[in-house]
Amino acid sequence: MAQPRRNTIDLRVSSTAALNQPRSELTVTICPGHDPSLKPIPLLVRDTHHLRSVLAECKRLKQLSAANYDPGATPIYSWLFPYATIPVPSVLSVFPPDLRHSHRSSNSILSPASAGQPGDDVLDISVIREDWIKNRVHQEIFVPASQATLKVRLGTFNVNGKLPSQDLSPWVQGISDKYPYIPPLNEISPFSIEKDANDYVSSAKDQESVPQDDSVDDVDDDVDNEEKVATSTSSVRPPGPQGSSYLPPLETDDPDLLVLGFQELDLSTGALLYSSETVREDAWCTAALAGLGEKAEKYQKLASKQLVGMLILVIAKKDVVHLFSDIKTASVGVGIMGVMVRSLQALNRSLILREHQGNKGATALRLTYTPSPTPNLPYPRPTVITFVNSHLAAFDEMYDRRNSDFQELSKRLLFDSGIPQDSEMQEDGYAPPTIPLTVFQSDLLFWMGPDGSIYLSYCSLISGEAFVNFQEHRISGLPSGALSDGLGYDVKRKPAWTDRILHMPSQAAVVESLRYSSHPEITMSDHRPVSADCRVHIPLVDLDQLESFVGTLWREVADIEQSEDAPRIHVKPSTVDFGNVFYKRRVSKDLELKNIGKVASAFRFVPITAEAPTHSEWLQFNPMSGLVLPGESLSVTLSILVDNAVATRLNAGSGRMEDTLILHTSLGKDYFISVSGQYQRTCFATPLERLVRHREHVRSPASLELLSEEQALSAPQEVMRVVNWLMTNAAEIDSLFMEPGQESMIGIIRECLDTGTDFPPRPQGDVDTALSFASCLLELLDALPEPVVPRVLHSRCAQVTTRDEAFEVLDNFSSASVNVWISVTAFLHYICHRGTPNPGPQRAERIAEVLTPVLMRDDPRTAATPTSPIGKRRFLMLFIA
Amino acid sequence: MSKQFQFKLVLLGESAVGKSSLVLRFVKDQFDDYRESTIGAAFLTQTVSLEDGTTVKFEIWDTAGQERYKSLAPMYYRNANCAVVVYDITQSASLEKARSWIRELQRQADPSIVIALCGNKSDLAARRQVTEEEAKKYADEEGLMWAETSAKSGEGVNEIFTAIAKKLPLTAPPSARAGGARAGPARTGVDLNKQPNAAPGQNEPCNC
Repeated sequence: MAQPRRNTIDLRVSSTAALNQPRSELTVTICPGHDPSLKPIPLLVRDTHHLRSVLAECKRLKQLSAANYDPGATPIYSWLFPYATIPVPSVLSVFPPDLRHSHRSSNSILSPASAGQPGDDVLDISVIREDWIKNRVHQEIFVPASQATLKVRLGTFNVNGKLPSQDLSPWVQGISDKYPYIPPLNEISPFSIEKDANDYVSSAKDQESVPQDDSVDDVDDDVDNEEKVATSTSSVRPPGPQGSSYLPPLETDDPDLLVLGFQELDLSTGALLYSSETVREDAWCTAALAGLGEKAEKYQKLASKQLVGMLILVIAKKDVVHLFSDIKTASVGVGIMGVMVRSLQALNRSLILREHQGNKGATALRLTYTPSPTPNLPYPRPTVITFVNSHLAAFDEMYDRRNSDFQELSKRLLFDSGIPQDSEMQEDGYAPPTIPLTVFQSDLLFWMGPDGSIYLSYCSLISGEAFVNFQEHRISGLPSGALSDGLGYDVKRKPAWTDRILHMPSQAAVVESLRYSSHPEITMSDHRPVSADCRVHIPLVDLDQLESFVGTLWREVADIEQSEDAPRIHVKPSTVDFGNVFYKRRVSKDLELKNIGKVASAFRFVPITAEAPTHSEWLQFNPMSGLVLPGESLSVTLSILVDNAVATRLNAGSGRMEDTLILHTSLGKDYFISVSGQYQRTCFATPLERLVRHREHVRSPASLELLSEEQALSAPQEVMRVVNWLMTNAAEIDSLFMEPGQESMIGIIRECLDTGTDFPPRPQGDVDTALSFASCLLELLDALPEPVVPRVLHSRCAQVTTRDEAFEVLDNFSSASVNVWISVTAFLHYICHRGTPNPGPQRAERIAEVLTPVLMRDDPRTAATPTSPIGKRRFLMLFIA
Repeated sequence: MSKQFQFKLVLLGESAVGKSSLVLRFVKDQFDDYRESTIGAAFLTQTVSLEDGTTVKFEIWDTAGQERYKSLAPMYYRNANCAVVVYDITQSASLEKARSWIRELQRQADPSIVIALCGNKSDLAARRQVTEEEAKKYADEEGLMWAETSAKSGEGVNEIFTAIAKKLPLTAPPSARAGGARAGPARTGVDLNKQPNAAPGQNEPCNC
């Protein structure tokens, strides 16, 4: 075996460092390998006694490393990485990196920089490099890896102080004939990524059109065909929202882990004073195991943690229990309870009693799952999974409190890693403090949170605001009610449930949600238990393989900031002309960045000034930062999308779009890229008051000079053209406004409106064209910056009960608004009563349901409680019924 | 013990007058016959030693000359201690452009900015359109430094940068430290008794 080249362990007495220190210091320099990119690591040692053993250990590890590599291969001393001046890639850190960081775009943590003011390039390089390594590891290690699958069943139950008095099997086992609909976890979990509530609602609406029988069949198929479920996350369709579908239990799919969160376990005063008592915990644990029925013998309790009324309980299948290790628990009280836990003595009993209902906080449990080693996988990468069971403030008015509670929990809910922060003993002789771990330092986090209806958006987590966009409707009974018509919530409002199970996955633990249900048959508490079934797919990654892969990557990029050579890239093209740009029609073009230098180049886009945005609001590019290795190329995609807000501004001007992007290479040049386009104005997203002052069609140059208010038309010609067309051609079509038109056709109609050209002729008996005209009208009205009914009048409209009062309100509309309102409602009145095979009040109801949220649109940006949708619908009904 | 000063210098002037070539000659003593036009702004440094032992480190921003990017120039001459405005002696229009840059600097840049007017391509004197007298007269009127240079032959290049270094107020520290955090990476020793630092921007307590 060839002897690898000798590493030097260089010892020299440091002359300067000894000055301020009572004890002598030594500087030890370790050369971590042959690779020139790995710089020697200078180490400062005060404890000269133990230096000998440190050096002996270094030699031992070095020999071990050498022995593990083939002769001639370059050994990688990955055990030295943690001590490198440049921090080790977080993918190799002992503790998983913070999940919130891995969901955050690296662009948000780059240093402030602008043209001519490069910011902290060295910091930026490290951030961009870290991101690059993470992405490469994801693509080349985690994605191709085969997977272990853990079946996890989670449950949350606010037991309202009751002791178990009913069979828990429907909840614990999931055997039930009734599964009230809760949308699939991945759709509503804000942890899982930025799923907009509207997406969620639209998907829920899609379900409505699925006949019940079909949905049951679909689920049957999925259960029978496990592979299908495993390969397609979208294949599990929840039953329809009406909440009475029948599902067979997932019998072949006994969970490996059963994780149950209980809240309000004990409402008695004693619970606070003698919280060490485990009577209730034991009772619920026994009841949960009993709920497993004859399967109970296959399971055992793995761990639990109780804090007053909050209990988290983990039950594992006996045949996999050996795969779980390093179990840690944590708990924290928030609000008044947090105070009490710390200084119970100071509070008198009456206060405790009064504040008891405010008993909030969380218990959490963290465990490490290590798959069994195999010959191909001698050192499987362990996966850390954390479960949080929280009980936060309820009710709308507690918004601020809940928000701060969440922040507090996130900060204070800490596990003890057992690893000392400092190797030195404290001066007082106590053991040194250990490194605390947050719940987010996991590969996967489940958050079971009742009473919170924690609608955490992805962005809100970053900005530190936990509960942005939060709305809560305290719905007793079935949460499915939030989507049904009966309760009068319109689809733009976010539905909420009182008991939720959320998750935050990572590349190392991917969650496939199978089922999310509530269990109405368990009636012992004022809440119903909720459960979620999922499969956690864990890529089987060998630690040695991972380390050597990361080590290889690391050597390519470790030295960027040390390099003598300036980064050099070639950006092609330097001008990008998008030509004509149309409303809501995305156009994309690529920039090619080729590294023509000798050193890896980290790049980012910077704004012109520190205060300015990086780019115009109509432009997006991806990626915003990145890294190109020498000789390699990378594409940056620029795309333009003019949405309503942008269109409103662009419609008022010449439509010339121009921007200069500044691409900054860290420790190198700024590159300028000119972007241009010619926006084609549209009547969409233009205020009614402006439309009535156009001389001609919106795209005509003559329309840039507005008519005076006296000369203004009574109503916008675009709205009138569509209404007239519908009146003439489509009044008899029953599905008008009920079914969507064709995108392409809507685009053609819009273009005719914008250019003043004639509509294409409608083929005889063609329904799609008519539906497209109806959709076009809806979209045109929905895109208005201010809805047809001015927002200030919404609450007044909602209180109106008679036709006379309704007409009085119209006096407050602008003339353009009132004319649009009258023509649209007159047309709707006509189609509800005549010209249709099914006239009558029912048709009017259905039409009102669709048109109300358009004509009287809420402002999605304000947090103010929107006006009652029922009242608004009644207002419209006064005109069309 | 010698003093070291650090100043931000910006190059301005019409496209193709040789700004990048001038910097390349000054920083690396090289010349490319066919240089691509700069679409952006390059950052370079070069240190000049004066006779009294003082060293002056220039942080140089070489900017794009194209009209299209004119609006970005203020970002690069902001906080500059000195500016070299370059024209091409074979293109009289380029002197006009230089005048407009100088007017802009006098109006918008730091009032204490030292401006040098530089007539480049002196090796092409046969095709001269701008006389030395004309340029010198203008420079005198405006109180600017003036010189002719040839990035190709190297003639006059070091001289003008050295002259600027001498003209800068070396007694007082530069009013505005140039260029943001441009300092090289600090390589500090690792204290074995401490946990290694977490990755920048990520508050992990440990990476060991």
